[in-house]
Amino acid sequence: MVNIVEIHNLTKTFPGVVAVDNVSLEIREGELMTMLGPSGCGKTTTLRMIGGFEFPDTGRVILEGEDVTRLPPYKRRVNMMFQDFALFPHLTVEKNIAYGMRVAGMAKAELVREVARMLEMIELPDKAKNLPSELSNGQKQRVALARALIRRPRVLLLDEPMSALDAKLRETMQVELKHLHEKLGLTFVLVTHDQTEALVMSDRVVVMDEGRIAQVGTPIELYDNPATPYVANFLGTSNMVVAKVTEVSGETIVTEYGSGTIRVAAQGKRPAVGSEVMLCIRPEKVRVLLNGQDSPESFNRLDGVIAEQFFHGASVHLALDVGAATSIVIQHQLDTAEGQAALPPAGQRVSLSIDPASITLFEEVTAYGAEDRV
Amino acid sequence: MSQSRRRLFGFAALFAGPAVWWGTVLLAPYAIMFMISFYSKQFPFMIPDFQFGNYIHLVSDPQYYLVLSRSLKIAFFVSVVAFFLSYPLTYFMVFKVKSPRVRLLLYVATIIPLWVSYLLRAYTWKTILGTEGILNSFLIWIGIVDEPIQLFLYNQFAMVITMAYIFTPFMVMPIYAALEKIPRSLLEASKDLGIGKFGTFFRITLPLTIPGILAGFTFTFCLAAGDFISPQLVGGPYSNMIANVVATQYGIANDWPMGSALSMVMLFIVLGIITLSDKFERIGRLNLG
Repeated sequence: MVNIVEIHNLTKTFPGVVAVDNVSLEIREGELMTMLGPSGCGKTTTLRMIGGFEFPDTGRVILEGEDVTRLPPYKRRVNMMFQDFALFPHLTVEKNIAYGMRVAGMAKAELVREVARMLEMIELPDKAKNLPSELSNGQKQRVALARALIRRPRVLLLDEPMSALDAKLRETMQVELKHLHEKLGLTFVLVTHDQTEALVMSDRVVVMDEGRIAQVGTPIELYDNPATPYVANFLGTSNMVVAKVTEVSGETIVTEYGSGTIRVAAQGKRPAVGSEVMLCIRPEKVRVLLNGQDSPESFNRLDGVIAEQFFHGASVHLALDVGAATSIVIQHQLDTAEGQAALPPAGQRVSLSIDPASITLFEEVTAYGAEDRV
Repeated sequence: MSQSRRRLFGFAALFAGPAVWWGTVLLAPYAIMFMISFYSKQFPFMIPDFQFGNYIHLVSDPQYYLVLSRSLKIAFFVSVVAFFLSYPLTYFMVFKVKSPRVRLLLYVATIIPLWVSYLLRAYTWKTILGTEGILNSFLIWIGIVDEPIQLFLYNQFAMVITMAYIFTPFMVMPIYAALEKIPRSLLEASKDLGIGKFGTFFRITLPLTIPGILAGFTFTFCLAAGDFISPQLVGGPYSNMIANVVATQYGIANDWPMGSALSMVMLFIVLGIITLSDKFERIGRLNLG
């Protein structure tokens, strides 16, 4: 696939902070790429440098093979949808959408047609004469989208597009935006701090941490094979437990955790026997063995006591004490007719089954704790 | 019953003071002035009456018309000069000064003359513009002129300059507030949509500050139109403004009915301007929503 945007060694410093630190990235034509990270990780600054709103201290931004590093926003075929939508409050919806198009050289008759087409696309033709203050947030977002798309940009930048919407509308707009992306075949670069949004919408995700790229990959790659504990912790919920290596043999690493042992697929890692490692165990990949259920021989078996239960509707989260410093949280689907009634009560001993291939092992032990897993 | 009575008592206790104050020092003088403006005059007394002679006199005597139009003209020029001085300054403060502390310092420096006596500030311009003044000394020193220029002081030019200086803070304050309220993302969006700096200023920044500009114009215009001191200090002959004539009518001519009629006319002009600007401002504010 062709790279539509290439970022080479981008660095941007603001007084007292390095916002973006030597970031290199390739964005492929037609993909929906998301930059994900907590506030202050440099994702917005990177986006703004692609858009031309900030110039980097060093490094280059290449758009369609052309160096645009120092070009102002109006000289690159990139458009931005702003976090607050930035609709012009004194102009009507149609004037907002048509803004700047005459200067760009579009004939009046064609512009009228294009604006009508855009209004049709965002399903707001009856709001043409309304002022932005008369629209709901969802409608404002569509107008902002139309205003950016009428210019036929090569890349559409979206800065936290859902942050001004309430939770329900957010989900709808995520789907709508994804459909629009598929329909237009345009390259979207989206910035968000919401991992669900990133997982749901993106073709590829860039996880950023303190101005650097932590990992780039498809949502599935990132979720199943996080490169660092930071990525594992940021995407989805996970048990990050510290275990001690007792044996390294071939494709398997055996660790000791609490009173039990956990075998992990080595995946090329070779920690020293006796060293401490970090294991990322996804709550939904652990099974509670009920009523004498069995699991494959190769799977890990752990015994534990149910410490707490947290009801989540479709599932229940169980905190299990396996005789170690931190308990393990697992997600149990309530898909049987008995539902939660089939589960043993708190205080009961149960067996757990974990596929060694579903566990990610990190040789570095970091401070990422076991909070907010339930 | 008793509770509603207690509530009524509390209400009265809270508002009686302001009501008496408002009634005696604001409303009553207006009412008295309005009443006197219909009195007739028989030197040196005025006679309670209800006749329109004073107003007819105002319209028929070109002297009053001249003073009135001069007042409005000077007030207009003062507002325009103050605007063209204030807008770029304020724009610079809000958009170009990066440090919030420096910005606040500049803003306070602009506003702080308001705490200095008006009279003192008007006198200052006398020492700047006079024949022995700073401006002439400077011009002679750099050799542009050989002898002091008398054109600077005691004319309408001097009045406009002085009042523009004195009322500039009233223009800066509302414009500052309006500029500061504009989200930076709007300016970035405009650039993103292909419009450069100047286009963005005229299409976005300026329209969004119209309410502030209107408020500034209203302040400076009304204050300047009713000014009394700068015509006396720096105005020289042929610079009498409406307030000076009113003072003369009350003080020297002892013609209170005429003075009252003049005051009423001025009051209604100012009220008209305020109503108009309020109406426009409201339209502007709706847009900002």
